[in-house]
Amino acid sequence: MLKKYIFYIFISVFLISCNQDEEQQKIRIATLKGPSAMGMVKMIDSVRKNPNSNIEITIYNEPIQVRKLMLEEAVDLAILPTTMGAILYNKGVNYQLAAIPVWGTLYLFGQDTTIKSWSDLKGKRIYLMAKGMTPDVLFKQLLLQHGINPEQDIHADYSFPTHIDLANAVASGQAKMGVISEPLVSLVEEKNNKVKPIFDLNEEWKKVFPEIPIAQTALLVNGNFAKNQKQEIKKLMLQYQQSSVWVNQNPEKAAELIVKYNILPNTDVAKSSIPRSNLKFVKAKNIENEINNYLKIFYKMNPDIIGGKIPDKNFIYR
Amino acid sequence: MMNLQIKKLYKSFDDIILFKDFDIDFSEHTISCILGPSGCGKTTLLNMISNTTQPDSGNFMGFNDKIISYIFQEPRLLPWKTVLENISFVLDDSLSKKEKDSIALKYSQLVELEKFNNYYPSKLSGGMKQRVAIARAFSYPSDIILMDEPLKALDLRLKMNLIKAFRRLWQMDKRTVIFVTHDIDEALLLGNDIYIFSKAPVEIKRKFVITEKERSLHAPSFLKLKNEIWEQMD
Amino acid sequence: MNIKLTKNKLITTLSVVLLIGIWKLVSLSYGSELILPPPESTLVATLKLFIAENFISTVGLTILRGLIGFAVSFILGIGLGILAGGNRSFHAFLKPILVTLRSTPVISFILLALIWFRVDMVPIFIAFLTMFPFICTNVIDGIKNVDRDLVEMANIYRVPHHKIIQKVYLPAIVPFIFSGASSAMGFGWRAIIIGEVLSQPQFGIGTAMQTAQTYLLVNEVIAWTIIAIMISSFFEMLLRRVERKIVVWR
Repeated sequence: MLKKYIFYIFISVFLISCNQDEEQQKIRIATLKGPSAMGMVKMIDSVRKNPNSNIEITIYNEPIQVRKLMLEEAVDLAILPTTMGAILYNKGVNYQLAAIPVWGTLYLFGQDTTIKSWSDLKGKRIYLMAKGMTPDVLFKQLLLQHGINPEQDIHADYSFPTHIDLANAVASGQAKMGVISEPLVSLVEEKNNKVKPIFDLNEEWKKVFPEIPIAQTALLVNGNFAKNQKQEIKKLMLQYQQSSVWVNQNPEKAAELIVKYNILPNTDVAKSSIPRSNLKFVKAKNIENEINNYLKIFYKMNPDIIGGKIPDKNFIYR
Repeated sequence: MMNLQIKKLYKSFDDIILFKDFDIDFSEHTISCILGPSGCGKTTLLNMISNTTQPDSGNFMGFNDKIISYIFQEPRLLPWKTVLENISFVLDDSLSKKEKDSIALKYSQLVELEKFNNYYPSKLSGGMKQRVAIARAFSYPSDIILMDEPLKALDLRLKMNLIKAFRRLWQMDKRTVIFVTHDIDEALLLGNDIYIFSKAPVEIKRKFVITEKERSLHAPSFLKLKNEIWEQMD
Repeated sequence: MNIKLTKNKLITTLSVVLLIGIWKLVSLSYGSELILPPPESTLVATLKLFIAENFISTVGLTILRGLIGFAVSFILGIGLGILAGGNRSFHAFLKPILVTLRSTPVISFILLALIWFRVDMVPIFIAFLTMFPFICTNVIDGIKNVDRDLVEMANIYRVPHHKIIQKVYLPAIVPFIFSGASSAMGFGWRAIIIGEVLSQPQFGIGTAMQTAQTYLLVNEVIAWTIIAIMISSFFEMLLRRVERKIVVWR
């Protein structure tokens, strides 16, 4: 009886490891449901249409799911907020920053029409998702720049822990004001036309930090993969870049693909979201200073946001 | 002397008829013992007198305005109250705390428990607990004390002790006592009147009257009486 | 007695040492602070938390939420428990509610509370819903267990009704209240912290744990866990002490 079990265990372990070997040959890319996947959509389309493709792209809902895969080094390329990428790098997880494909898509959104200036926000309840994530820290940084203490002068409410929940709450009016990102901004607008942008946080950011663009989303590459597959990475980066350009130039067709791959529910939302998503694929090695300055802002706020220190030069994939 | 009378008592439980056209008289200021086989309805009779069980029919005469103390088979003390507190628990709240305390103190002395006044029941022996129950019954200003085999679970020496304590209390304050037992010695040592009950439905087989003040189980007269009772109880 | 006591203490210490030993071994085998930091670095992280800026508000507010939830559960649990214990119809009415509350997953309460209430109320509401049924059920059980013979005795001695409730029923249910309170607290603290993780009030152990998790500070997550355990056992101990003070008759 026992022998039989041991036999089964061996067989299953053997099968699992075979399976893994097979997958090892594939290039695994983890992306996020949002602007990063929207910019990648042409690439996704060509990969999925080609049955012989050695690339596997999976779209995840939450950054934390992608982070889990990176901790296991189970993906070769991954999309994650730049700050989280820095944390992983600083904690010794072997991923380098290859490119910034998305540049700031955040809005303060809501039905409150009384807000004209930043100081009007004092004493207000503002809904944010996931404490410590980019929308939260970026918005708080802007508050600080306008002399508002985010811990005392406003009520930061994290009742809606995921981006979708928060967007729904803003759309239904349950949350009067929330910081949300494209493409959900377009989604909310479509659902409820009373909800309007109160601040375009990207514009507000430019006013305060004209030299430091919001390097919001990062394309990260696994260190070992980077060492051995330079050519492959070059090809993939080019593909992603071309896909982003194509999406910006062909919003109609891109919108259809975005709906087809379940990134957004309908083409109207996709069409209005594309131009607002700041899709622009830029290699990290060309904007090293900008990235460092972007991270420094958060470092000054709370070093833990980027993992305790400014990442060293090796963080940038060359 | 005014007597307590029960006339034409009927009581049955399910199919068992306990009392059927049953009459009994109790003399006041007397200890009446009821001896009888177990299950004949002695406890039920006490419960009907104390109004915790209703008869099917029957007249209770002279009981109406009587206040009743009850000494149960078990001590029935409140575990969270000390000896003194257990005694004063039954005392009327119109008395001041001081008055209640002094009454409780007096009766705990009379049952020789003054050293244990502040003990909780869990720290007392079975005999001591039953003495608290006796003190509680006497401290309560009752006309009638009902006793339902309170000595059943105790050994002989303790039994004798308690009987002595009880008689001492009763000599000072002669209340009407109705004492149910199936132990002939207890009845002989305590009772003035002894009723022998039959099996259910109950009839009074015989009534003995003991007039002697000094009781000894070894005296010839008592031995003779004991034999007579034995014969009745078969 | 004394020897037995020290022996038990020795075994307890041994169990704790063994636990820490296994922890150390597992952390060595992973060799990564990101998965399981070793006990010593966790200890340092725990000590650092004690002197961290917002430590008092973080811990204080979690405790405050727990105590408010407990107080409300305690008062309502005893009140409704006494009513249900004394009245069959009310018990029949209350029973399905209690059973439902006890068998509902905590996470369902939290998800609903996140929709219904403001952030600061969510953990308190959850604490109440997890603690209340324990206390209420125990009070009902306590009343059912009141010795009928004692009540009969009190009735024969014509003890007034209010005095019977006060001196016979209440003391009889006290030990049940304590055991209910003890299990309520055990579940309550856990529920409050889950509530805080999801609702993210400004200060709270759950909030701090979630933030540490976001920043991949695994040792801090464990450190907060240790503090949560300390709080829970402190209140368990406090409850035992109070019980020993009140239930002196055993």
